[in-house]
This record gives sequence, C-alpha cells and structure tokens, in this order.
Amino acid sequence: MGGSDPVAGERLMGFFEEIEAQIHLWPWSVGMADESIDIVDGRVEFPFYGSPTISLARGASLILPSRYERFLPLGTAFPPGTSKYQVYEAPYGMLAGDGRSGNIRAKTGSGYFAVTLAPIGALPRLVAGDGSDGSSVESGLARSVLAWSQFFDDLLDEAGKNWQRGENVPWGEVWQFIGTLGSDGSEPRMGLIVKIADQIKQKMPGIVQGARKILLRERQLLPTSRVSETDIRCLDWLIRQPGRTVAEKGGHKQRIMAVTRRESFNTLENQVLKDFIRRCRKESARYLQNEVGFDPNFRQSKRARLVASYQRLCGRLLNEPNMEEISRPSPNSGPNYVLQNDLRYREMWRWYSRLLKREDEEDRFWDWQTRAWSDITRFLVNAAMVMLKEQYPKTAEGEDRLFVAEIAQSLLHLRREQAMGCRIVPGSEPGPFLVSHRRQGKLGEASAVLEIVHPRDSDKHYLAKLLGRTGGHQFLVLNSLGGVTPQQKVIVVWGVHTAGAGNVPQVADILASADRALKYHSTVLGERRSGFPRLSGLVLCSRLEDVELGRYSNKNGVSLVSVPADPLGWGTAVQDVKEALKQTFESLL
Amino acid sequence: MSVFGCSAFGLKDSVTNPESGCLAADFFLADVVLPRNPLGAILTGREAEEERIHSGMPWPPEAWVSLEGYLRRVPVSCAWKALVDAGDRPVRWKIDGGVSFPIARILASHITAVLKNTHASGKAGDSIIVAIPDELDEFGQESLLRELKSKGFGNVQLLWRPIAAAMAWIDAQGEKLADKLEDGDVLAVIYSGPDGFEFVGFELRLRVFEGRRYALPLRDRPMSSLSLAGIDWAAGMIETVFPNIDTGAFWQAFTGFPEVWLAMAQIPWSDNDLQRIWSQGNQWRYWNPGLDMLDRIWGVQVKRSSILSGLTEKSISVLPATYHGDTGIAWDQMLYEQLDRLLRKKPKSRILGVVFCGALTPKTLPSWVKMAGDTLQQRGCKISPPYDLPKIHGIWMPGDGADAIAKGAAVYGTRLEMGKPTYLDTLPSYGLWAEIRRLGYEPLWDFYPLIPDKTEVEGGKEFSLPEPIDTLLIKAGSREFPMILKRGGDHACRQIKTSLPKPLDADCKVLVQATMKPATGFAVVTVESTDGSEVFKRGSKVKLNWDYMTEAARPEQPELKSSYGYPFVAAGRGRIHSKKEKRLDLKRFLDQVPPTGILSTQQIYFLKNKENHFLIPWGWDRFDPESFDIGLFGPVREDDPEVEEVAEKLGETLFKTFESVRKHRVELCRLMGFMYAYAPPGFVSFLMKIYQQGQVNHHNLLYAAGRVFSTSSSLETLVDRFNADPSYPENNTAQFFWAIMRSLCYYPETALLPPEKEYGVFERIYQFFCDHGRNGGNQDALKYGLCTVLFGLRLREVNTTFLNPEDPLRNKLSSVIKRMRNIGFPPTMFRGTGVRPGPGDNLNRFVLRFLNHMDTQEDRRVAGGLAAGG
Repeated sequence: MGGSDPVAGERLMGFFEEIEAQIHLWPWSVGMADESIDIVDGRVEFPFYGSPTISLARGASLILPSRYERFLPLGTAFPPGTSKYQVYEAPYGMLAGDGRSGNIRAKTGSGYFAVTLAPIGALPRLVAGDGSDGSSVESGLARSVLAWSQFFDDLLDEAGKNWQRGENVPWGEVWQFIGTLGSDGSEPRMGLIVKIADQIKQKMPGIVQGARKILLRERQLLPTSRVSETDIRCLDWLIRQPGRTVAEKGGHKQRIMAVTRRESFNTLENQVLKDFIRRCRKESARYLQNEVGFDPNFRQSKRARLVASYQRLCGRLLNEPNMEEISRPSPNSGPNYVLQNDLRYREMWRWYSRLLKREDEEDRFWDWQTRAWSDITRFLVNAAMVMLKEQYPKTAEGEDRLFVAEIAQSLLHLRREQAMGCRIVPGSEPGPFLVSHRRQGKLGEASAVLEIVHPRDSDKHYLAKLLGRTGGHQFLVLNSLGGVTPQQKVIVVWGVHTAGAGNVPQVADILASADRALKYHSTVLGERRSGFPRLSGLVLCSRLEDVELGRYSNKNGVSLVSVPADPLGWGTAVQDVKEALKQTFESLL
Repeated sequence: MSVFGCSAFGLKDSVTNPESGCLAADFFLADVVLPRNPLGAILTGREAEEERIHSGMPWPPEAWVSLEGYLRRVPVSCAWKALVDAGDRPVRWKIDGGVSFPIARILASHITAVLKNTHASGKAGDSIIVAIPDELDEFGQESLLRELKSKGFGNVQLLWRPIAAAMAWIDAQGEKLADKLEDGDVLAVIYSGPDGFEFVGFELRLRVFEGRRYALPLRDRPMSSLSLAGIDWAAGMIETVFPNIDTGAFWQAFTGFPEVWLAMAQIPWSDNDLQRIWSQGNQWRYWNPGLDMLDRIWGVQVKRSSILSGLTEKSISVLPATYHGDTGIAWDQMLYEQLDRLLRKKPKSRILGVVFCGALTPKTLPSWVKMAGDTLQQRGCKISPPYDLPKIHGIWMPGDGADAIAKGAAVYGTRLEMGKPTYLDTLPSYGLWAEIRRLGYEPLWDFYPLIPDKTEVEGGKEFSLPEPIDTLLIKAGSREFPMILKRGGDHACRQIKTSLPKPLDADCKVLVQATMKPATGFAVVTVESTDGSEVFKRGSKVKLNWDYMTEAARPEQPELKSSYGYPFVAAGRGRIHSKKEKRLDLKRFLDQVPPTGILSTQQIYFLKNKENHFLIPWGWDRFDPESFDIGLFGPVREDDPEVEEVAEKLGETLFKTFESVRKHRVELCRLMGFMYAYAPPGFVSFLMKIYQQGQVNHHNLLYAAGRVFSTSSSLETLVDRFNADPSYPENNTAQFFWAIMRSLCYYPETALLPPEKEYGVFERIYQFFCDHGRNGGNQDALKYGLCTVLFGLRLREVNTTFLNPEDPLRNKLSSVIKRMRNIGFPPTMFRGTGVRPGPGDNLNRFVLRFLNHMDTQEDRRVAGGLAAGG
C-alpha cells in the first residue's frame, strides 16, 4: 500500500477482497507466473516492455480517470465456459509518467477503487530541448506516435481522392500506399500544417484584408451639435436630466445621450479566423522544430520552406490593424452562418476544425498508443496478407509454392477520429482467403481457408472465442479443405509496442517468452477440448532505432517481426510480415 | 447511331448490338450490394459478386445472413420480381438503420452497369432498348425510366420481353412469313427466367411499309400468370438436394454458384468447373453437386421456399396480387399447365411457332413441352429438331450465346430508327370522372374513357383520343380544380386538386386529353382551358402526374339537378333475356314453323295467347323495379346474341306471314308491335310507308307505330300524318296521341324530331284541349294528350330553347291545361316507384310542373309509369 494515493472515500481493502487482478508484462503472459504480477496493493511496480495487459475478474471494470474512459476488453473472457477473467489493454500515457499520476480506477459492485501503476522504463512524451532556453521538445517516440495518426489521415485523403469510397479503402490499394511511404527521403514527414499551408496560404491575406465587419449601434454622450439620431432610451435619459432646455440638460459639457454607429471586426467568424492564424503559427513552429529540426536536407525541403513561409505569413497577418480588436472565440462555439456558407470562411473553418480536433486527437493517441500499435499490427498483417494474394495468385504455375486467393473482397474501413487509439473499424479485415500449398502437382491437397478474426469479434467465432487468455491482437484461423475430418490451425498475432519501453529484452528473449506462453496456452486449452488446434504465433514489435529490425523465428512456429515505429519504415516491414506469414503457412500446410 | 438491345433480368444478362453482336454474362445470379448510407454507391456486376457483404459465408460477421435480418445483397431477379409484384405501389428494399432504396434504383444501377460493360452510353448517339417483364405496371416503368435517366441514360426505351423475343423470331423469318400467315395464327412465347415465367400468345397482323409486308405481333393486356418464379424453383431445388441446409450455405449456393441455374437450363457442367469454396455451418468444403440435379429439378415441388422468403422478407415483402399459395405439384406439371392454359386460350388458332426465351431456356426439349406435344402437333406446330433454329411452325430454343430478348430488342430499336413498323400494343385504359350524357337518360357521372379499353397502338407510337373531353368546367370562384382519374380495370382511383392562381370570374370549360406510348410509363393527361385563358399557374395548360395524385375512393354521384324541364325515356326491358325457359319455349315454337316460314292460324293464336307468355304483355313483376307490363320483348335491345337470333327469326316469320296471309294482318300487326325494338325492319318500313301514304285504316297500325318507331325519321312520318290528317279531331285522335307519346317515351333518338313538327302536334293538342278540355268527352284522349305534351318536352334535351318561357305556345298550353278538367293519374303510374301522389295532385299539375321547369326528382322517376300499360 506504500506510496498509494487513494481517493477519499474509496475503500482499498474491499477491492483486494473482491477482485483478482494481475498485470502481465506481455500480452501473452496470462498464466505465466514470472511475467505476471498480482495487484494486491494500491501500488504496483513492474518492468515496462511496451504492451502490458491487465487480467481482471469479471464483474469489475477499469477506468482511466483523467478522461473517464473505460478500458476495453481484449478478446473474450476466459476460461471458456466459466468466463471468470477478462484481459484488458493498459493505456500508455499515464504509465509513462509525463506529469500524470498513474492512477487507474477499478469499479466493482461495491464502488470505486484506485490503483497506482508504476511502470519502470516507460518513455516520456517530452524531453529537454537542445536549446539553452530549457524548453522541452517532443521525444522521438512522441513524434512517431503522432505520425501514426497522420498516416491514417493521409490514407483517408488518398481514399477520398482516388477511390471515391468515402472512408473505405480497397485493401488492394493499401499495401501499395504503404509502399509509397518514405519514397522521397528528402522531405520531412507529411503533417496537417503542411496540407493547410498548401491549401490555404494563398487565400489567407485576401480573407484577412477583406474580413467581414459589422456596424455596431451604440449610445454615447455626444456634443449636442453632433447628435443626429436618438431613440426612446436616449429620450428617457434626456427627460431624467435636470433643466428645461436641451442646452440646460447638456450640462456644462454640452453632451447628451445619442445613437452612434461604429465599425467592428469583432465577429465570431473573425474571432475564429484570428484563432486559426494563431494556431497555425504555433503548429508551424512545432512542425519546424519536431519534424524538420536541424537536418540540413529537411530545412531545404519543399515542405519545410512552405511551412516556414506560412508561419511568417501568419505572424504578419496577426499584426494587421483590423486583427487588433478581435477577441478569442468562446470555447465550444459552433459555426455561424458565415462560417458555414461564406466561401472564404467556409474553407478556413474546415481546416480550423481539423486543427482543433487534431490537438485533442494527439493527446488521446498518446494515451492509448499501445492499442494504436495493436491496431497498426493488425493493419500490417492484413496488408501483408493482401500482398501475399497479389504476389502468389492462384492462377500462377509452379510447384512447391504457396498460392493465395481471396474468396471474397472487402474494404478497409477507417475512422476519421480515433476511438481509444484505434483508427480501423473492427470487422473490416480482408478475406477469407484460400491458401494452398502445392507440393506435388495436386492443387487442393494442402489447402485451407484462412479467416482473420479481430479480437472484438472473437466471441462470434467458433474457435477464436476460446482464445481470450492468449491476449492475441488478431487470430488467423486456418480451416483445412479436402480432408476427411476438418482440421484447424491458429496463428495468434500480437503487437508489442516495445518502442515505448526504455529497457526492452533482446529479440531472442521475446521470442522465447512468446513461445513458452503459446505452449502453455495450448496445453491449458487442449485440456478442455480434445483435438484443439495447433497454435502458432506472430509478434510485431515496434522499434525506434534501427537495431534488431527484421524477421526472426524459432523452430516451434513463433515468428517475430521488428517493425520501425516510424510509418516511413512500414513499407519494408510489410514485406517482412508477408515473408513471416508465408513461412508459417508453408510450415502449417 | 448505335442500337443496343439489353436483357438484364439477373442471370446471363446480355446486350446485343447489330454491329458487335451479343455479349452475355456468365451463368451467375447477378447481385447488387447496397451501401449503408443512402447516398453511398451501389455495387454492381463483378464488384458486387466479389464483395463478401451478406454472401452467406461463416466468416466474417458482415458476410452472415439470417432469417431475422436485413439483406444488403439484393439478387437482381428478386428485385425484378418485387417491382412486378408491387404493381402500382412504390416498393423499396430495406436495410439496417431505417435505410431503404427504391427497387427501381437498384435495377437501374444493374442495367446501367450491364450497358456500360458493352460501351453503350447514355449519349444521344446511342439508342438503347431495355427489355422489361410483360406484367410490369406503368408505375414500375415510370420509376425505372426516371432512375435510368438520373444515371445518365435518358435515351433508354423499354420493350416488353415477350414482344422482343417474338420480334427476333419474326425478323429471322424474313418476308416469307407474310405469305404463310393466316388469320388468327398465334405465335407462342415462353419466357423462363429467375424472375418469372411468362406464357404469352401473340396474334400477328400484317402492315405494309414502303412496299414491304411486315408481320407485327399484337400484344394484349397481360393476364396474371404464375406467381412463383425461377428463384423459387432454384431455392426449392437447393432445399431438396441439400436437406437441413443452413441459411448461409443456402444463400451461397443460391447467389454464388451457377450449377443450380445450369441444372434448371439442363446444361451439364464439368468437374473442372467445381473449384468453388462452400461452407456449411463452420466447415469449409468444395462445392460439388452431382449431375443428377439435372433430373431432380423436374420433381421439385412448386412452393414458396421457406428459407428464401425468410431471408428476404424483412428487406422486402411484396406478395403478388394473384398468389394462391402452394400448389403441391411438381414444376414440370406446373409449367405444362401454363402451356396448356396458353393453348386453350385461343383453341382454334394455328400455332405459328413456339419461342423460348430467358436465361432458363432449356437446352433440350423439356418433358413439360413433350406433355403438350399432341396439342401442339394438332395445332400445326411440329415437334422435331433442330430446336435452335427459328422455324415457322416449329419450336425455337435459342442455343448458347443467343439471347432472343436482347436480339429482338435490338431489332425493335433498329426498326424504330428507320421508321419501320414494330409491334402492336394494347394500352391500359384510363378514365376521367366526368359527366356522361346519353340522349334520353339522366346525365350520369362516371369514368369517361381517356384511353379506351383495348386500344391498339403501334410500338413506339403515341396514342391520343381524336377529340378531347369537354364536359368538365372550373366553377367561378373556386381556388382549385379537382380531377379524378382511374387506371386499368380494377385499379383504385386517384385524385388531384390543381391549385388555381386566382379565383375565376366565370365558369371556364376545360378540355382534357390523354396521350400514351406503349411501355413508357403512365399516360400524360393534359388539361387545357377552351378559350386559351391562363387559368392555371403555368398558363392555359397543365399536365397531370399520376405519381403525385393521391389515392381516392370511387366518387359519389354529384347532387342531381333539381329541374330539367322534361322527362327521360322510360324504356322497359323485355323478359326474353332473363326468362330462359320462355326463350327456349319460343325457340321450340319457331323450330316447328313450316319450311315456308308462314305461320298457321293455330300458331298465330298460340303466339297471341296471353297465357303462353310470349308477345302479349303478361303483367307486372313486383320484384323487378324495371319491369313493365310487357312480354318477351321491350324497347331496350339486350346485348345478347341468342336473343337477337330468336328475335330475328320470329320477326322474319311474323312479317312473312303478315305479307302472305291477309286474313290475320290486323292481328299480326299487333303482335309485331309487341316486339318493340326487335320488330322486323320490314314491318317498320311498312308502317312508315303507310303513314306517308295516309292509309291508316285500323288502330293497330297506330299502336304498333307507337311501339316500334324508334327513330326520329320514323316518328316524323307518324307526326306528319297526324298533322296532315284532315279528319282531326274526329278520327283516331286518342290513338295518335298515344302513339306519338309512346314513341317519345320509349326511344331516346325520337328526341331528335325537328321542333317545328312537334310544334304542329302541340298546336293541335292545344286546339283539342280548348275544344274538349272542359266537357266530359273523350277522357282518354285528354289523358294521352297531356302525356304527349309531357314526353314532347323531351325535345328540350336537344333544343334547350324549345317551349321556353317566352314562347307563346308554352303560355297558351300552360293556361289551357290549368283551365281544363283535371285528369287523374293512371292507376299503374306510381306502381313500384315508392312514390305516392301528393294530395290534390293530378296529371294536369304533373305536366305543368315539367312545362314550367318545376319538375322534381320524384316526378321524373314516376313519369315512366305513364307507359306502364305496354
């Protein structure tokens, strides 16, 4: 209990009596004693490897108090039949310190209980800058994580531009899009501010100089000689003044209340405009600092020059005289008629909304980056499957090789906004696929139908619903074809966000850990059901540096692909994932 | 100009272009996949086939189908069937979240995708003919054309698919067909496709164009046919071959695999084609149906598939109006019955050929056609191979790669481009609720035919009535103009109230006209002011849109006019139509007439015996409100050929006897009089001649004239005789009054008598009333005189100024009738009318009310009673 900081009124002791909870160092570590730590106290310290999970007795739930977001379950409850426990993915942000408490809350039938998680080795979002001013800059991890969001935005923009399918992208186009990433090494990463600068830079001076103004009707004390308009309230005022004539009522200053008109730029649309310019300038500075930095190649790049020039333009526009009196817009003010319908303001409002949303998105993405990595893991594995289909079509000739055909097609459905770190809508995985291994000239001798199961949908799958304890982020279920008795094999896919951890074990150790866990899960699950399918594993680890990148595997069918956290490296990573899958299929069929 | 003929009913869809030939799709049931969002893109063609949404696979969940769920995958054939079954109701395909799509939009998406595959475009340079089911309602046609236009295919024309197939056959015969064509020859067309079965017979008509003879099929209004379709048959087969199949596996086999449909078309498949993956439950396997399906297909029971209707009923549930439930017989029997029904419809016609069309056209002669083999042979249709050639008096089953419908559609398009004759169509009727005037009868509101029933028009040509309807008027002061239309025989009425920009100062008469082209949706109804004044918002003319009209009940008769100033005809019906036994008696009697055709004295007595209930009136039937004291014949001719036949024979016999046997002439004259409207024409001519010659020598000649003079010209001879008779008023006055009154009372056309002739009669009646009105002389003559005045007023129906208030004769008559002694009502006048005479009322007052335009509805109702005595 030492060091815990329970919220007043919460009863800690009851929590430990009511629920059983463990934190697992790896997603596969449920049931592995040396990789699981019981939560028996208000504070838990544990080594952080990137994607810890929490298993919790059913009936309780976990909440991230800073956002009041409920933890989402990962897969189905286990063990099958009794469904006593459920695995949850832990958020990253509060684990990484970053000025937050590390508190989470558990809700049971008796009330709320606070637990402080103290991970050792989680990387922070901000690090000290290179300059002498002592300011902080975003860490390499933070820049990579924020680039993930940008990656999906770019994919969505591409979808809107090329495929006219709204938020849906044909899977066949996805892996080609990944391949184009990083093709131009002289340019820094794409960012929202680059798009804004590209789209609206030319128009901004025109909008500011031609800003809409209104005539305000005011009542003021004016010299009697300048009064040209009065109203009932002015007359009320005049009547109340002592004196009989206007001259007497005007007093010694000879001023009376009258109606005047004044020009003003302080309208909602101009408040938004000014705020937009201000935010653009700030975002430009951030882009130049974090993405461009001091790299001489980047500093001369087209994007960097565009953003720098836009930053200067924003500074100049903010100093325009008509911007002076404009105040900040009140929070949560919706768009007025001008913002929605005036051609100039409408476009600005669209970008302003995206900019505002992105800031909020970044925070959420940072907090749920482990889930985001799981999402990206699924995305890369699915893209690799589609790549396999393209490169090993069923129509091709040849023996002793793999053939992959898609039985039915589907679209990748992206979200415009993240949902607890995820941008891909569950259920939009590709497939099913027909995977054949032609060995001796007889196609169909070793064929199977591959079903890709998202953990959210695993309760609907006859086999994946048994695999909740594995903590898998995706299941590839192979159903054999042509045999007398149907056989199934499952490849459990895990995404481990090792890029977020300071002290990550060696690849071989990770492989060994996953391998041990897989054997354990096979044994436990096999005890409950005879003929339980053979389990294989595929681990995708994120890496910040170029160390240990590539593909690894052991003899027991567990593969590991070390994937760069930066999306620019995903093109190569998909190739590695594809090869890992190919190797696994060949060994299984 | 490129012509494209398109047949896209969801299986083996094909497009034919005279230059590039026929392009047909594979034997897959075409699907359309709907988006979640109402504004999203509808997936069609290959994209839809490859898409996994609601494909029935066990994984992922979006591929699942269930009996309780909605379907986003729409089999095109189901959509066609729903559009046909919906008739004139809008029909939509529902999916999750309250989203739904019009069926016509789904079909238009599919058709445009099929067309685009063949590079047919919506540009003005292309002429596109799309085949549609024979029973597709105008509402469905209209909505389909609208959706096609919104997809950039405004140049599409629709064509009935049996007509298209018939045109393909006719085109293949060339000009030699015209030589072999005989009256009444019928070309049978059998469509079998997943969306329905159609058995249609076309009579062929010859038309000459630029010196060449063209045989044109004449399309009749479709009869409701089989309510189950190929989709029900296929579904039934899957359920039979794979008992206890789960819904997902069923749906995969139904929508994804061609073997089901190949079996129905009797096309075998090879094992090499069977590399398709299928799942049952959670297990995946290869789809491997046996070739025995080709035989098992015939034994499948005709019934609605529980799985298919369960899967689709939440998304769409349209039952055809003619669905009679499951029959419990096998499909081959059902198809044989349909063919037999078609052949029995025109039992005496020669069968010029039998054309099979549609994707499920069998490759070999099916058993159900063999079952009808004898009938076909007897009717001139040879059942001998080869069947893939279109022969006269043969069976044509186009082979692989040939689509009679698409080809015929292209033939139609080409002929249309060249202005050649195409086909003849029978339009659906349209009626406008309007006042219908019939001479002699009270005006009645009913549906006036804008497009008359059974109107024949050439395909691609427009029909309109030669004269617009001019009986409607917009009343002064009204803000809107209501109109009610009725379509087809038993469709509901629809109403529209056209808003007027301002109230009219005076009544405005309008002309209503309808124009209609076959297979182009609804008729276009135009309303136009007669004087060209801009009474409507868009000027003097407005077009009515059936879609925007609201359903309405059949309207009530508007309030009748209070006074007309004349009575209507009181034409009683004879009993020969209703009394079948009497008709048979009469026939038996006529059969005994000697070969000379001259009746014996005994036979004449037999005929005139009142107890035998033939010609002499035998009394009033209190249970028949239209009954008069008449015999077998009356002043109204029945539309009954049997009655006509008997009447003609009797008339001939009587008149021949009348001419031959002088002894019984007076009696025979009386008997022929009792034949009223059926009196032999010779006898009527004889009477007219008598009056022209002034040889009226017995009363029966006058009585007979009153009964049989049904035209103004015949009545004119009588009136002329009366006006010219120098013996007036001493001789036959009462009989003349009686005869003139009866003729005017019985027959509508007598109101066309020239007014000056009637004036002469009225002058004489006036004189008679002046001379005898106050003394107690001939009371019958006074009574008949009054009745003649009453029915003489019928001339007002034609001449509205006849005896108007300014007319001196009217005033003279009015005052003399007031002054003369009161004549009571005849005792039979009110019989059966439910009206009682008012206290102090009499015939004088009764006639005066008509003369002075003060007649009431009751007065008009009882006026006919004055002729009750026969």
